[in-house]
Amino acid sequence: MTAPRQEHAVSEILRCDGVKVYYGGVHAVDGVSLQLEDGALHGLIGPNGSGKSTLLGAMSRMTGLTAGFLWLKGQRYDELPAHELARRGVRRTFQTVRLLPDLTVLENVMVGADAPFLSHGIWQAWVTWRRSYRAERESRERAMDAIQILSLDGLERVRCGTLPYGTQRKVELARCVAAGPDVLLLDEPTAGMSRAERGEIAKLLLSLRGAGMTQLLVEHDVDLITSVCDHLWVMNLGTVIAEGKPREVISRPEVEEAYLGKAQR
Amino acid sequence: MISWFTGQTILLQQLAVNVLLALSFQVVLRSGVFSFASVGFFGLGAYLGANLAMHHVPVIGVLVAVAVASWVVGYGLARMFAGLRGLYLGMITFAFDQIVVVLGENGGSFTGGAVGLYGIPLALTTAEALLLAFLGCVVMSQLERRALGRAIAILRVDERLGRAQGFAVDSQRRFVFALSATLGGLAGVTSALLTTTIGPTDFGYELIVTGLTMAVVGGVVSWAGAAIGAFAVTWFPTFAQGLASYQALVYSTLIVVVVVLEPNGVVGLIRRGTYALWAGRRRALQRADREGAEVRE
Repeated sequence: MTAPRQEHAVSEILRCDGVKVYYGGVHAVDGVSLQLEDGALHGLIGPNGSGKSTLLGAMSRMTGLTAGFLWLKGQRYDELPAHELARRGVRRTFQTVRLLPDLTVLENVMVGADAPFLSHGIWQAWVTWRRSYRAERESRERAMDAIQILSLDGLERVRCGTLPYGTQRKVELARCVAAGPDVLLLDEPTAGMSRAERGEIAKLLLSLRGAGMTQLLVEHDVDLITSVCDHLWVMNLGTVIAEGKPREVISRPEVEEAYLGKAQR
Repeated sequence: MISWFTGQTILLQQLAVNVLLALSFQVVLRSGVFSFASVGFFGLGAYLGANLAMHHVPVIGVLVAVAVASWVVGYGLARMFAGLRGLYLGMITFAFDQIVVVLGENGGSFTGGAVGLYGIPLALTTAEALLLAFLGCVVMSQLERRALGRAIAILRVDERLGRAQGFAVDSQRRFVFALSATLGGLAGVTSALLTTTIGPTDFGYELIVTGLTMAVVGGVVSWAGAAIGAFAVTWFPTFAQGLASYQALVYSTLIVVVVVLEPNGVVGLIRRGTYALWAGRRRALQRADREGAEVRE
């Protein structure tokens, strides 16, 4: 199957073309096309089971495509392994907390910044002392910056397994920030957080946008989405049913119907 | 000191073999690769090394040849088993061990059949064997430091997370499997060159239990755990002579107890204790700071 001719807009950084993910007869994602504008904060909402996380999995190459194409900065990446994509600057978080509970906050955050050094191969990482020392120092500096941005100062040496849930979520975000990605795919980053913590995360997302990081935020918190996002897509039953400016999109009848169901007459 | 060394020669030789074997088990288990293949490589390394030594190949050549051959075979197997995880990988590597036993029993003059090989030149001294084990520990400790250490720690906990962080998880698994094979092969050749014999009964089910006991009791999270486990298992029969005939039972029970109570073994216990002390001190300092601030107010 050949890719359609790609018109790569200057401001566009990532594009999905007709992405389909089928599990047997279940059409989890059914022909979704969307594009992320460079430096913008995008939102993706939809009821449970609408295919948001599957689409995120496909975009991050964690989930295989049944059909469709993916483009990053004008280059196709739908056959690229997930770790290669991460090295090219597309990072993601998961719906559930994924940390190394026995490692400290600092070590967990440093993991986000380790990829450039490890991309030269295991042998080099194993036997080069000076280069690994230098890489360690760089990772540590980036991690410390990310820890400060996320207000996790003072917890550097605390083991992640002993932290409250909301703080673990922040450590995950710090790990992404330490990686300094071009595109950040966030799968419900505020799930289980308090209102105050959600406010902090909203501020963080806006500051990352200010720093030029492109983001796609999958969320159930409509208030958060409408307050921070520049553009919003709504999914239902594997397809995009609406898109546009967040406040305008959520008031559309088809969106209300997807969330609340059709009124009985 | 010298007299102690002479009196403990057999145990020190056993320690060198056990450390290498324990490291072979530990490195795969630490990476979340559930493999028993170390014992099969122990057998392959022992037979290959014994034959080379019997053909007057210098000991350094024997060790290098066994290390390279084990790496190549291990890497090939890792590619074959790439899609297997957990129990299925454990089963297939157990089957691999049994295949090596059968090959040993039917290998003609190369393996000496069911009787095994005798009269292998005593090519390795106790000090050289201990040096080899020490080097094994040094090399493995380098695998636990800095970025590589964290990447391998992720392999055990969460492969998807590793991929999302840009780590080539599949090649890391192959590397770790081949490394384990090399250490297993070196343990086998060390044993053959120290004891001058090798037969199919030397690397059967009991050696799997022994290897697992060393790695699990010491703690799979670090090379230090393998070393601690090797020390414990080597000197166990000396300290518990009455239990010598129940060795397999004791080892199996130990594995169960450790896995239930402290999955990270002795090393995990030490780390937990150290962390608890640090966390307690940190809390006390924070409390003192708070009280100081209240007094100032």
